[in-house]
Amino acid sequence: MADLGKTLMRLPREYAKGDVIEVKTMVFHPNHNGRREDPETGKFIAEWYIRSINVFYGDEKVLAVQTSSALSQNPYFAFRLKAARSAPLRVEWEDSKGERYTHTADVKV
Amino acid sequence: MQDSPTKPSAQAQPGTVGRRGFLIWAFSLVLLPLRRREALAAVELAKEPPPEHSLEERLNPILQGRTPKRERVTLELPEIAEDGRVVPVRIAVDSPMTEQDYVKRVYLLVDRNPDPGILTLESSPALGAEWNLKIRMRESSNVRAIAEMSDGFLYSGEVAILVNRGGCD
Repeated sequence: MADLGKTLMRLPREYAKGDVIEVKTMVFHPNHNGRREDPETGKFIAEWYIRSINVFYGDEKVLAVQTSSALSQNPYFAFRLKAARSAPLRVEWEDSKGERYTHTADVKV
Repeated sequence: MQDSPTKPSAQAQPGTVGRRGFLIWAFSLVLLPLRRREALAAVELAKEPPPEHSLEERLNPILQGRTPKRERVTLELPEIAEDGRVVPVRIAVDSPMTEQDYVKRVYLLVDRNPDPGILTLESSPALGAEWNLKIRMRESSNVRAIAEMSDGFLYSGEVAILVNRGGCD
């Protein structure tokens, strides 16, 4: 998978201090749930999936998600943040192999 | 006029692939399965799929004997999910999201998935109470979102979703 681990993050173009903004994020990842059979061998494609998403706003951890393998391929996740202050917003994805994928965008108010 | 020697000509007859062309084509057939095996070598295989879990196994630890009130939680999925591999989910909770009163935790479950527990989310007053994601559903199923507020009370929203093509294989 050529783009494996590439992360995307989108904030609204304009917002003011105190607005609740939608933050959309995505990571390119096969998110194998381990149940897909390979017809040639009769075996299963081993599970390999995003198991946690953590969001940090400045120093504060504002969201912690634990996910099973049931997120779709190239997991998409959107949340709402109160744009209370200017600070970096960091999204960390971790998969079942312990690999981490991170994306940071600046919230500017 | 002399005939050409009995040795076969290097040039193919017009309109045919000729012997060389045939040999190249036959050779490529041998190579094809090898290429596929190379592609698969990049993917790990397992003998068995992961174990399945029951709804009770996932639900009981969440409820701990409590019964959520069926209000304040909006759970939206398409009534008919065309492709169970990518089912959009919207979870919204009616909450002021202040330090005194906010959504502390959200659980998402799909009753009939091989593992009904989809996610557990720890929230904070820094957020708005709405989340969107895309999930896999194996088959038509009840889907439920349970929100635990900062005061410990549980609220839930449930929808029954039809799935056209299963998404868990």
